[in-house]
Amino acid sequence: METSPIHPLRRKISLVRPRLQAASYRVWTHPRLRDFYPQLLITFHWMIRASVPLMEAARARSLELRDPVAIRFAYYLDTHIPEEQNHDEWLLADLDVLGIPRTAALNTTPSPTMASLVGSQYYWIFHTHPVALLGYIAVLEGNPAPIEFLNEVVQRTELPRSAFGSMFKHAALDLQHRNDLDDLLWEFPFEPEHDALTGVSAITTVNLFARVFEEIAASQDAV
Amino acid sequence: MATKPKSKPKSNFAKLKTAGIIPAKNHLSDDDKYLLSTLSAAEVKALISTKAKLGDDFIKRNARPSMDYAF
Repeated sequence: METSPIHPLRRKISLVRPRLQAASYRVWTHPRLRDFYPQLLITFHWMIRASVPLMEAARARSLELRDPVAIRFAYYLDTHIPEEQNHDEWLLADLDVLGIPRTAALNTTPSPTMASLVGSQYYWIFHTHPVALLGYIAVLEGNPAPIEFLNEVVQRTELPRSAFGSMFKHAALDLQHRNDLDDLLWEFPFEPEHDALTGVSAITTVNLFARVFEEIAASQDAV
Repeated sequence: MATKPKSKPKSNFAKLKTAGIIPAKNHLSDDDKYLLSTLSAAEVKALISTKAKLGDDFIKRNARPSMDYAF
């Protein structure tokens, strides 16, 4: 059977992804997960609420630049932005199930690591090239928890299944998004500087997102 | 006057090894070694900043089901 070639950006991510996998696994299997699950949802909300604004910023900047890579990226974002609309609302709905007020997510101050994770993308979008965001999306898109694992988490934590609505929805949707993105990566007319920028963005995303998980796990270990 | 000969620039592999990102007993595949040779200086610096070891040993120890939910 013929296998599809793996894009160099995916291969760069695979070099460092084990650190992120180890960190997220540490959180999802933590003995105190039931207690800090609301905080985990709030942390995800900090990040997800920035997804559409980040993509809109990248699309607007791409349309200003109008080079071949920027035009292709704007075209991708035209279709992808609607797919990501309201995912932050899914997380707030999960918090509702747990009786946690939405203000807990909306009014708390995100960690410096979260601000670095999202904020570095804004820097690259406005001061380098918006296609940097492709590195961020390639890391974060399409790696949801498997449904069997989520079922096990529900059972282990004894929390309502409906409090994991966002996770289950992503488990169903994200693999298709990932396949779409993998096909698209080959269509970008990248120059070496775009390869380097998306690579740095992706590696940095893995690094900082792993740190977000590591900080949550460390704070719970200390309890 | 004799000038000091310029030292040969370090390869990406050597830079990552010096930084401790590639363990002394590296088990990187030839494909991964080639991939490393294609990285830009900025990507090498980003890899070093992750402080995550590269290579099969690290991957085997840390590979888990993906669950870094985000998008």
